[in-house]
Amino acid sequence: MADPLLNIKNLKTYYFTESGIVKAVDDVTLGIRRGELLGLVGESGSGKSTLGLSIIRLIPPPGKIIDGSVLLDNIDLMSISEKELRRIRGRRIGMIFQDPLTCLDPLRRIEDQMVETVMVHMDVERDEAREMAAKALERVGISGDRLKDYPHQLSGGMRQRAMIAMATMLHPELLIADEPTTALDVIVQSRIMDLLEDLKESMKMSILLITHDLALVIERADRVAVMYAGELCEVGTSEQISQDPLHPYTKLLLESIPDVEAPKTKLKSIPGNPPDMRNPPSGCRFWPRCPYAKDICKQTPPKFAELNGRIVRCHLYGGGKS
Amino acid sequence: MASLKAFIIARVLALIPTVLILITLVFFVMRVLPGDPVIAIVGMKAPPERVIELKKELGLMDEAGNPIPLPIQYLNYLSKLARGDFGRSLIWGKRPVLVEIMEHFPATVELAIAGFIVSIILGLLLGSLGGWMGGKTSSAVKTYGAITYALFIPWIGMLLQLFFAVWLGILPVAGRIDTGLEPPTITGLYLIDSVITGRWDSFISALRHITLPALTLGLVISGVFTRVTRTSVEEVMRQDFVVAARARGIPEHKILLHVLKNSFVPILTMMGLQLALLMTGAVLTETTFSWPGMGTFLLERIQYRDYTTVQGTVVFFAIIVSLVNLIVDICYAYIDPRIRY
Repeated sequence: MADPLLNIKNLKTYYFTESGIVKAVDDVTLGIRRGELLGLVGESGSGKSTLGLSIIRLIPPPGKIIDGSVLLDNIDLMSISEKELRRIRGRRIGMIFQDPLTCLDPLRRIEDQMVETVMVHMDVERDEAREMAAKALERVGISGDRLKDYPHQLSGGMRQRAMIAMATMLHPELLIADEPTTALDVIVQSRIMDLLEDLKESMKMSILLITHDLALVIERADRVAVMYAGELCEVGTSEQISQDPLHPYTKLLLESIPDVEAPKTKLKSIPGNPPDMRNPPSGCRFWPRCPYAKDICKQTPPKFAELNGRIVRCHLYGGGKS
Repeated sequence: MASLKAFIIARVLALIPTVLILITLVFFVMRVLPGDPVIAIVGMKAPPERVIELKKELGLMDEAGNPIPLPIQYLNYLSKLARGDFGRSLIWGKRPVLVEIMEHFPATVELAIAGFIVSIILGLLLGSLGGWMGGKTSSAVKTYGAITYALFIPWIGMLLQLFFAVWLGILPVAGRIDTGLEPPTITGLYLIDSVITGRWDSFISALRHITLPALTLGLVISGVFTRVTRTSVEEVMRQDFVVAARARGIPEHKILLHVLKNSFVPILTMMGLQLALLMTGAVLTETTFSWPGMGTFLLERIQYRDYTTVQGTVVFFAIIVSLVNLIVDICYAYIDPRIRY
């Protein structure tokens, strides 16, 4: 892979709930390249957020990372100590979340939260940390005097900007953005995405954009990874995914994007429901909803196959052999 | 911070009607209670002149011997209160009620503060431990909270007396201080006065005497604090900002500070609410340990049918509780900027 920054290999994260084991991330292998915007798409419960949190080992109990490795420049984030990992969180890997209001401490000024983050990672004086915080805020288009504000005094869009400022303040190499625009209205959404793209360019940062919005990802991302029921289905460039999707799930997802050019057609949806993750179907997890399902799909889980430089996991493309 | 100042002014103004309603309630409830105070004091066979004299004294009759209507009695009482006149006791030399209250109030304050400190330490410590650790620790803390909350003060008080004072003999059974060791009155709180005047023998004696009552009161109230702290910490721990802070590499001990500060608003609410329990608890604790405070005093005067003193004491309690609630409210606004409106 060209200039990889982060390599996720055979990662398995399971939730050990009282009613059974949920294999939220099951044997996922995925690389993130330097400076790219990689979109990770999937419906609710597909395990995409769990994958994002697994990268920096923030899985809440009863979840547990069972197996696999996540290499950041040959450091395995899964095997280093909690203390070493803390030095990477916020410094080399930043993360932003869906709801910026609940993700900021409501009782502390934006400034205090930013300064705290700087001072945890760098040996600087308070004044210098404050200056860095002001600069980071200005970089995301908020004037530095809003530093004294409490989170509830900012608007939704501004809060997300403040979150982004906080997460990118120390110039991380990777930003994990978990549904960063879902809680915002469409106009603010597109501004936030513009901002993320600008920061990606100016800081030469990679972004893992986790979202359920395939249209957004195709428009903005360099590459797209599609996840279904804890497994990766397909990885390709945005163009490949949008023009020539291989996996049946990707095809159906694309068809379900409403087309504004043809307003009269009925909205298409994928038949059936996502599987019960405590008891997923045998074989390929998508077969009960797949229009191309064959007998082999019901019995043998497909493996990844490379096809003209693209990766897809489906029996239609020889996924059974490799 | 202009908004905080405005908040405080608004709250102080809102205190006036609250206190007025409380005084009105106490006044009329005292009149509605069965039993004639005059007969209770002088007895059924008292001569009529004595009865009239007492009625005049109580403000029930004017100088000419005509009964004063209830609304006028009420207004007279209000105007006296406004001047800081709580009336005079009906017994024991007719001393001013306020003077008598002030003689007993410091003892109650001292006990209440000590009990409060014990309960806060126990409650916050155990509660945040349970909330932070979760799982079995949390369940154990939950059980502790339920058990201590259900404790009956005189019962646990007597058990402690039996164990520490009678069997082990290391702490005094009752009282506030050894006779003759009372420090000169500055604040009225023996522990503080003895430190100010440097009388360490008094300090040790006062500390030994307050230990068991404070432990009794603190133990019972700590149950509620433990419960509120535990649930509050657990709730805050589930909030996204904890994960977000971890994702920024903030170490756990700093996250704990964030969590505690955020858990504190419900805890503070509970503190305000517990004040009432603290007062009634103090009354029970005081009688168990012969602590010469407001509780013992009030109980004694109720038995003697000293109506003016009882009424004055209840009004005084009401004002104190309102004032403390005001302070709690201001603390909220200080901690949580979202509360200032």
